[in-house]
Amino acid sequence: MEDCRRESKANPDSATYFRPPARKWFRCFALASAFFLCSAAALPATTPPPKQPDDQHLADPTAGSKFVGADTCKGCHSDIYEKNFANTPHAALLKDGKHGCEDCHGAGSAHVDGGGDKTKIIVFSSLSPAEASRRCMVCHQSNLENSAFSQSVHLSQGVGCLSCHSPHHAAAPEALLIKSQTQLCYGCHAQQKAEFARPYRHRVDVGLIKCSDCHNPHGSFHDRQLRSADGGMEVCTKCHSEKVGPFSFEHMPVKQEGCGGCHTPHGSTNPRQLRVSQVNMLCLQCHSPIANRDTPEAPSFHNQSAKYQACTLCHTQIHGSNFDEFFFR
Amino acid sequence: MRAESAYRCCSTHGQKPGGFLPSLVEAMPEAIPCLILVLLCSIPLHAQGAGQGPTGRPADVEAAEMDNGKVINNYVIRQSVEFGGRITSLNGSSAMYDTLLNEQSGPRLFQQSLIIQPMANTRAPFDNLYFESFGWGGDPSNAARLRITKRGLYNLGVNFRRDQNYFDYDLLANPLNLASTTALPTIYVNNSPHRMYLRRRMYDLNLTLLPQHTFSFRIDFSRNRNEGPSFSSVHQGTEALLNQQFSTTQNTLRFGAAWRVLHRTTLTFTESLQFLKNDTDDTLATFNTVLAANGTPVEFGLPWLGGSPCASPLVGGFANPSCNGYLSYTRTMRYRNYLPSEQLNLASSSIPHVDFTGRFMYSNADANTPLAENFDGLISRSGVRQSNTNGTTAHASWVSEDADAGVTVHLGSHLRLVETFRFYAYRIPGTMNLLQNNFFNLSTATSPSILGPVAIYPVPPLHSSSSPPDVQNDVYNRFVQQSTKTNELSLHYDVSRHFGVRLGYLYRNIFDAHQWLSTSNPDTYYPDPKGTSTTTCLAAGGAVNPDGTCTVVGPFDNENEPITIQQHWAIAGAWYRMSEKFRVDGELRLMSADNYLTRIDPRSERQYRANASFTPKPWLTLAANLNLREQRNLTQDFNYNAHVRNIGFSAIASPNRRLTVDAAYNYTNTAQSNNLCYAGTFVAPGSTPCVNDNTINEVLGFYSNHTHYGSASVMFKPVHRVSAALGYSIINVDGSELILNVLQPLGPLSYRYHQPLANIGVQLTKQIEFRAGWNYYQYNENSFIGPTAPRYFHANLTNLSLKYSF
Repeated sequence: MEDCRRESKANPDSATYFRPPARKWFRCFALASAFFLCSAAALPATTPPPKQPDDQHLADPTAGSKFVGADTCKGCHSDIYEKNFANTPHAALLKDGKHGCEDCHGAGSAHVDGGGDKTKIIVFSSLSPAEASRRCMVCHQSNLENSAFSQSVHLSQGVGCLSCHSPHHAAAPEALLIKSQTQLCYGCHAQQKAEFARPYRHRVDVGLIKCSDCHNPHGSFHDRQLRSADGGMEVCTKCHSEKVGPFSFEHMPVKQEGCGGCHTPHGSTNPRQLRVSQVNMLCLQCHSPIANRDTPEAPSFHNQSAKYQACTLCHTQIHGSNFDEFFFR
Repeated sequence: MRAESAYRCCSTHGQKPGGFLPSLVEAMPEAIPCLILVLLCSIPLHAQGAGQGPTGRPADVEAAEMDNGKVINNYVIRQSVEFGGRITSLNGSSAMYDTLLNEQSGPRLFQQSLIIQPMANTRAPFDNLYFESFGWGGDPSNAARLRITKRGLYNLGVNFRRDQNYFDYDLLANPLNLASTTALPTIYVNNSPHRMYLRRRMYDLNLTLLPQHTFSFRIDFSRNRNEGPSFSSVHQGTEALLNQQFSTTQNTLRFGAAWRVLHRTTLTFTESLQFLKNDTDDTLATFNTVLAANGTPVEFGLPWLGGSPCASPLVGGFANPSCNGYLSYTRTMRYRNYLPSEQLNLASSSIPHVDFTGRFMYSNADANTPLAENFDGLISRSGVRQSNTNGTTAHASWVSEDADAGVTVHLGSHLRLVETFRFYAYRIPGTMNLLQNNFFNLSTATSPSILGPVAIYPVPPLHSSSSPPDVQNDVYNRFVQQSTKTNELSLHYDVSRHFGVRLGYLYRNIFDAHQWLSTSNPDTYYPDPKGTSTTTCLAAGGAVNPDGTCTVVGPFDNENEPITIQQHWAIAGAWYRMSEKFRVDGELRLMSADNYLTRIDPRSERQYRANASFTPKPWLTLAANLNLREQRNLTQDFNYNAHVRNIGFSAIASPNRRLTVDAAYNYTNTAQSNNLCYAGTFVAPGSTPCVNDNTINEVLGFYSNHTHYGSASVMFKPVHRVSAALGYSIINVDGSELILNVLQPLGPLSYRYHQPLANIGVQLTKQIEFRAGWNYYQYNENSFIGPTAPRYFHANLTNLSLKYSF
């Protein structure tokens, strides 16, 4: 951690000023990882695999109960079992020698002995989104896709696993979703639905791409739960690979502010999904002189009224160029 | 039927003219998913012959078949194929239609899906097989997706996607030459010269082996290929139109392993190797070629006014040899980039009450590009008659570290503390070594001429005070860096299972820097009789050599600018869920920053967001949303203000199985304004001298946009075998902006886009449905279009198809 502190006090005038502290941050990460690994390993209670998924810090109405087996559950819940469980991916739990229904709902002996007492079994609809999700995460957290769910924006807004997935009543063939992914997202994100209907948009509505191509609904550490491309670059570069670079002459805002500095990602009323309707306006907003900055201003011979000529007619390589500092070629 | 559909799928894709063989070659990449389709379809076909049993089937089999499935050899199969065709009738601007829709006539495999699942207690190589595809036969978007999973053994996903993007919007990169008195004759350009036809193909293969095991492995491969012709332009005295053949291919191989170190603790390592190549060739495209007096064709380029290509391009009906112009131009670039990345992840919830996830990724890219550019023509200002850049190379690197960590501490059954930290840093050192030979007319010439011969040293060249070096050997060093540290701490309290709140604080530190250093290494001026080049050279700090040449060595451009920005965010949120009938959530974010990067970087920002849904009856759902975002930066003379205000309502009613009504309305108001400085002979009202450069004007630049979106649809089943739908959606756009040129067309500032539709389906048999659909599109710009061609169009699209499913 000492390295982390040193980094924050780095002297801007030193020779290492422009060198990102890769090794320092890696050491920070390694130390944190080692701490968690050692702490986890030092806990005897977690060493043997638990008998139930809700082993540690979840309220458990089935504590003390014993497993009765899926066939017992089927005796009363045959409808759910045959129609809404046997043909789902979760049914494979039975083949792995696990407990099937009781892996999620808890051991059922007390529930059976109580004549179907609902207070003796885990009923997900009675749990808060966070509590219900933690039970799912017992198995699903090991997947990198889900590992940040407990820190996700979705969970913080009361959107848990069961808000989108239904183990028993999934309507979409993908990931036990309650609707097709796009319609599911549109259910809450109505603004984005309207944006994708605009004339210039990414082709989500026709099914070419999905919301989850760019966003991780299970949480990420980027704003808006965005994914990132290799090198931590913006997710846009996964498809728009010609904009990736690196270039000898970077148009700095492209990397520093991101694609969203000039484009609206979901859909726009303007061609090229630009934020404004005129290219020149977009350029001049930044390329006007600033007192204490070197931001290049549009030169005086760029007479805006002599002719209407878009900046990108000449500055064609506006995302970055290898051979021209003015992005001509 | 399945085999026939698959065959047609393979044989009818694309609409490009040409012989069968070129079409076949073009079709090869797309043929792969079709082949998969054929193979998959053969599974149920084969199984059908062997597995259809007598009556008296088990209950689970009957249950599966009641659920629109068919049980064959203990596999539940659901499948559908929709095949037909489209008839497109277009009136108006085909350029706009192709830009927005580009859905043409022809046979289509509209969609296909296949789901195969083994019955319970069946030994099968997979638990779930899902395959879908759509858009085959020439639609601008088509895709095929295959996913096969076997619990505990593997997860396999294969995707193919292709999209075609045709772009021909009049006003982007439009020189818009108008009547001129300074260049005769006037050549009008009323259409955008930068047209583009992009075809993008994306292939993805993702294989995870032994998921949920102590050790699991992952192999991914993705390929992204962008190809197409486009028209671009180049600036050499005047702008010439270029025919650009671009081809970008990005291959990414990713492999990794996950180790479940402890129960609920997983360590994952991933190695990613990304290769990118960009092969783009440019050649001179004919725009308006004029013959010179000796019969040589001269290309004068796009702008024909304001002294460009010159005041009088034609003399006696022939090309004026003193004008800026091109005889030929070629450019070849071969960009190669190799980006390896290593990533380490740790996810753990082994410690009681603590969930932890962390990641570290290191990447180091290395890109190289040789440039070969040959210019033959005339740049009248500098007198350059020819130039080439053979031997020029560019090199750039990308070094980045991306680390993040998140900890959730469960302080009780209702209270949790969430801490997330993210560090992201990259640096891009770039170098370009320019080796450019410039050639001029003979010094005996009185003035530069595109028809004049070229002087080869030691024959003295014709120089002017604006001439560049004869041999240019410059090194451009560029360095861009950014590092961002973000820390968010928030406290979440679930008051009950119905209600939760959270409070948080986010701190972000952004460090940006760039360094420029350009050096002559050296630049060489050949002597000329008037001594012009020597004068220029000496003025630049050069020295005269014994052979009479003059060389300049040393830096000529140097810049270094670091910026640090600190942002502070306050975050508050709440959600309320009253059973499943009513749900509402909201969030507030307030930001303050102490610095900025550009004039439109906010120093304060406010975001408000709220969503609500209400289901008063099981068949009726009402929803509303509100999103407000406001930004401001009043530093210096910026006067930057921006906002996005969005509000929407929607309703879905399904009172019975035969009727569903869906309606939605959404309004977005976008506005942004800041003071900008500009040069112009037309002075916009309200302009004053620019605060930081009083030789140009300053005025409040503004852009506002009001977008109304409304949609309504009704789906109904008038009789048992017939289903129908009617729908309509409209986008109405209007707004305003600063006008710096009264001749400037306003383009997309105001328009309406109507999209009504109707379709009907008739169930001919239990398995076959006839479908007919009609879509109408009308795009109508209302704003000033100037001399450009109207961009109005309306189109009727009729789809006819048969859907076969079981």
